[in-house]
Amino acid sequence: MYTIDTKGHLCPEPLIMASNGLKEVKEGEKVLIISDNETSYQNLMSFLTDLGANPVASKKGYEYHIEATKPAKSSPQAENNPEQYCSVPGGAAPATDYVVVARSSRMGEGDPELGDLLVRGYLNALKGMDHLPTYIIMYNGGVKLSLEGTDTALALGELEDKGVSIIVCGTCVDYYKVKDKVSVGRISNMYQIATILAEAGHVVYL
Amino acid sequence: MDSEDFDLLSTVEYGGCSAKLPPGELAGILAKLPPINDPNLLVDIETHDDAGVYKLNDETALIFTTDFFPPICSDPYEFGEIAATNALSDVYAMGGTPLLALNLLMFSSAKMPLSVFERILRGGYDKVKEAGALMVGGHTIEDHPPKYGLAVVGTIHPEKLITNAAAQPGDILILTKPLGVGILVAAQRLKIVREEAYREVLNQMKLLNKTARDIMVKHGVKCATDVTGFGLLGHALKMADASGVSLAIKSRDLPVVSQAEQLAYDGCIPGAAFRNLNFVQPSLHVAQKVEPHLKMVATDAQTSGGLLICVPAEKAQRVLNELKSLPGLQNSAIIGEVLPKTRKAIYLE
Repeated sequence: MYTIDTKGHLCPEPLIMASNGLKEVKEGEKVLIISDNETSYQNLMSFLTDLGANPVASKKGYEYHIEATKPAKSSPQAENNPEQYCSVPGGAAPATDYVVVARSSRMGEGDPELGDLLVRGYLNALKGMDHLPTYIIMYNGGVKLSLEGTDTALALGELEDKGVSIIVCGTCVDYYKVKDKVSVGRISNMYQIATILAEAGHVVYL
Repeated sequence: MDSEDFDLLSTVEYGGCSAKLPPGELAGILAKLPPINDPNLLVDIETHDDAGVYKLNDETALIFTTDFFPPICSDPYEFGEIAATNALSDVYAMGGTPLLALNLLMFSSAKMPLSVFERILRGGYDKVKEAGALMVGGHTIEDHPPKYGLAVVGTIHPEKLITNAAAQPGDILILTKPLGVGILVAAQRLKIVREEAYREVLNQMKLLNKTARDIMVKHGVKCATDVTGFGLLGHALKMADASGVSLAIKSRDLPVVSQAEQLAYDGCIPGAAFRNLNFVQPSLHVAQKVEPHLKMVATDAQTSGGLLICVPAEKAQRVLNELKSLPGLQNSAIIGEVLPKTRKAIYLE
């Protein structure tokens, strides 16, 4: 395996060496990066994770051995949108990003109680999924899902920690007079919401 | 050897504000000190603001601050200028006027020529003079590597005080100097940066935040902070917590010094940026479309960085235009907005 020995080098040199080393191998090939410094090792893990190189570490005596995989090059779609390519965690996530929209505080039309149950079930199911949405947007009555003291806000918080951006319609929280009660998500405007919807791979309406 | 040949950067591993203690650990230690309650103390350490502020009477409050660090550049005179500019900045960030300064110098006469000592002090003296303050003394002890900075007293009208605790939802965030100072200094040590790009950073670090302060005072700004060792996101977090708000910051709108983006992309990210990231991480949400190297630019430790200013939306464009017309502040930019407080303090988009 192509080996990059960073022993004796101080940050940021090990990161630069790792970055250069990855340029020497083909996509999907692995490199071995060796570090003898706890801080450098942690910074390498953070940097390689950001690169989408899936670093896996093991400790050998006083050395850290990190195996990293050169991420696949951008797809034609990603070439047009480098931001999107750079952000795919692990480089191996499904290609289509999607956005979930909560138009009301319930899921589907019909019995309100059932709709309450369904939206809770959906958010809980989402937490366990590998393919998470890029955004969950809440507008109109949907903003009530983000209010403090609700179990939906807790579920949304867990999704936010997993990297899903939670977007709450600012006009809507003003209209319902609940702005001070929003506990999760970025309170936003219609311009941002329209932009996200326009750029989404596909949109799931609850 | 005289000061012309002596490379100050050769004395240190981490220079400038990169040398700060990890912010999380510092907060933990400070929290153990007994709180101070005095009706005249307008700003204390509780809000992690830039300086302490003490009201003398209805007309005048004292702003009291200090900052010092190991070398950030090779030339002793420039190091003196930068360290002094950085120390004076805390007074400007609060809207004040520097009045008196004291030198704080740690220096080993056995390891370095005395002419270096003299050049560092001269650089500091000249900046204090430029700020319109008086250098009234100081203190020197033997130590290596060298460290230099100032203790500064400034004044302000108590009702015109600018703090980091007055951000209002709806305010627009403006940053006056580009980010990436830590990245470029690290690159300079590795000799992988163009001379003119590094020069640009040195000049930026020597630029007093005085003119930006004048614009803030003119427009009645209430909330600002200066961006230094904890990086943009570290200081933004302190502002968000002190003000009881959340902040949205647009990664693509951040002003960045020449070459810093490419360097960060290629892995030239100093350890301090990762320390700062660890500190803000629990309070930070990063949208998936944010390019990772820009996240690291946003946590890069700045030395003598710019002001992060909150401006009511209707005034934002005018304030920005006035800032951009000032020498050295042409890269000032709107970088985000203040939001009502939710569970994350910072949304990086």
